[in-house]
Amino acid sequence: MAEPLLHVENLCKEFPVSSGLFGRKKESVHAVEGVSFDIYPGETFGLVGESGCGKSTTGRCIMKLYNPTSGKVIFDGQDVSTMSRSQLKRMRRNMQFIFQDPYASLNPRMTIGEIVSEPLVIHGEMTNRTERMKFVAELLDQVGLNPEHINRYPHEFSGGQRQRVGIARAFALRPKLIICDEPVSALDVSIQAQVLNLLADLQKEYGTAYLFIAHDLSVVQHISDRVAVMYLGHMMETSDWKSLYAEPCHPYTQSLLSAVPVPDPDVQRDRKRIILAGDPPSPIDPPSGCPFHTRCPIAKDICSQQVPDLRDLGDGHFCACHFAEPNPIKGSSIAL
Amino acid sequence: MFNKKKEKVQMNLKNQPVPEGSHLLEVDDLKMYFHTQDGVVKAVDGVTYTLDRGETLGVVGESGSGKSVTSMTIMGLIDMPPGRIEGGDVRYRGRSLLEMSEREMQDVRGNYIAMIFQDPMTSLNPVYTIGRQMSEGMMLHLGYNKDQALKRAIELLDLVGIPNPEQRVKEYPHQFSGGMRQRVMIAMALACDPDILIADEPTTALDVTIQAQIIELMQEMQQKNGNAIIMITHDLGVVADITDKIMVMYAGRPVEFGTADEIFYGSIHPYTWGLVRSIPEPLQDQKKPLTPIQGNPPSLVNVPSGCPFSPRCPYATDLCRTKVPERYVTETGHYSSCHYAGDADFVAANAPKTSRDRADKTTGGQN
Repeated sequence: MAEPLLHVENLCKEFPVSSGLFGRKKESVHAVEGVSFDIYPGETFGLVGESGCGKSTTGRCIMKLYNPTSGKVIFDGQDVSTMSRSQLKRMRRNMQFIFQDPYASLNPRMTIGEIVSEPLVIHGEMTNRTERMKFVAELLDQVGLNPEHINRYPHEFSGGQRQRVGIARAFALRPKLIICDEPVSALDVSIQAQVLNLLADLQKEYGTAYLFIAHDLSVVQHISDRVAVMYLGHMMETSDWKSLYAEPCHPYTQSLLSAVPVPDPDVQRDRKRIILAGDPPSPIDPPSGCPFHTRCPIAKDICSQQVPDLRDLGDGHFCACHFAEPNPIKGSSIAL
Repeated sequence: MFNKKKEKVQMNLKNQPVPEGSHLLEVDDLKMYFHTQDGVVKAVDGVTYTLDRGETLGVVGESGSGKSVTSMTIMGLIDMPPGRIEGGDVRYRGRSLLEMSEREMQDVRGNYIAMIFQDPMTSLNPVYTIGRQMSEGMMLHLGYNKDQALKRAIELLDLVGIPNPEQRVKEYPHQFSGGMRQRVMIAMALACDPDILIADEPTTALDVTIQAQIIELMQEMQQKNGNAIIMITHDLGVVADITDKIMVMYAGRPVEFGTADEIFYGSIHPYTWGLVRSIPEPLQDQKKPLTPIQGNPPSLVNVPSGCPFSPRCPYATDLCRTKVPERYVTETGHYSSCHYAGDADFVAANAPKTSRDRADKTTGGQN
């Protein structure tokens, strides 16, 4: 198998918080706990989970926007965690970010031409302004924006168009990896489909790898080659998209899939949903053993005592459950 | 003061029968425009539907399509000006809501028609306890005293599945999680046993496992109370899950209305087709690119001439660009605002394949 482009091993991130009177009690939010995965060149790796499960924090730790508490991130053969500032800058040329909020992630005082060309300026590419602007105009055309709008400001664009600007900016340096943090969740469904198609087209053309972070399971299924499911900072299950969606082996994955309403009344009426009780526990005080045991319908005694390992079930399917098997919760149909 | 309260209870419209030949709620060609400095915003333009007890209506559309404004207009929550009713009527049990005085509308809100909002944090008051906020409506509409209302609030919290309600009723909104807050909102909305519950994107801010809980709760409550639900959402999955009737809105207008089956399996409007095609298909062997709707939704100040969807519609003709389509209504009341909705060949050739089509084909092959 080819060398992975990105190798993440046992990544942990804790955020200290103070509580109690005068903030004397020091605690920490266990945002990411021991996440490991590889991303290969040109593939899309989807990271799904509910809010607060640590998927965005993982993305930010990889880019070293946050300093990981422990663990290893190796990008393109180099260890990101020990890099100096200048090395980081060089590394980030090959690793770009697309943000969720197309309103907050574009500087309102810059024209879109300036926004898209900024990565080039920072990394000292194309010092000739005319050449640079020509390149930006081509790029805008490629992401489906009118190149004549190069001197307009972000407020003149709709949400979907702004997200296209964000995509053009991320692609300006032709990076090897783009971390997409919920790139379509702020968009309407018809616009969402446009942006997803655009991302797929650009990937085909440039062979860029994506780390695609999202909470919408059907979107992740559509775009990803491999998918990982996170819960409370832990990675619960990872596999290629087809086997994860067709035969989830973790009760959490199965419940998550069964909770997604299918836009097809016939199918929806016949489905048996698994309704999980309660809310996800607080990451400040995570439960002992398996993080999911407080809500899991098939939890046994061992689940509250022992943290399950991410076991290899064959064919690249990994699952962190003591009772991992295809569709572990009986009597429910998922069929997403 | 006490007399007033008694009076209110006596004139409870909720207990009066729905007049012969009419429905619980009838929205008839409702038009509400905002008159702004930039021009006239046609936020609600000819919305028509009927609703009966026990039914669930889904209102689907993209942001800015007028889904929420329609319900706000019905509830009389739009400031006039800048808003103005330009035509049409809303009748609740045969009485026009638009003609009611502000005083009468206060009885309608919360008592006959209740509403839950998308963001449960901003719609609860952070400085009052949950119990006090829940009691307010009951004391106003049902004439309960403080103790009665609090007792009922505890019962309601228990009903919507909040553990330890005696304790929680004394707590403040920030002590509840998002899903729990939405449960409180539902309990509050159901406190006066309303006829109609308007839910404006009630699960959009929630995670999918919590969304499943809330939807289940709403259905359970509906079975128990027999109220009607208007579910405003952009998620076709949610709509497929719980609604009986669906209205698809675009640029302030209803483009299609019908039963859930008619919309999902027999849609006759290209916009609905586009929406269905934009959603990633269920698990399949080969991934296909999505078929998005090209372009962006129009600004409501500057609605395109002719059919508002024509600039984005792949089948648009010159007729579509010049003439606003008449409503095409089938025998079952399924309607579509498209010039070609009545053309069976056009529909058959262009409508997306549904799971029923596929099933027909396979069984057809076997027979």
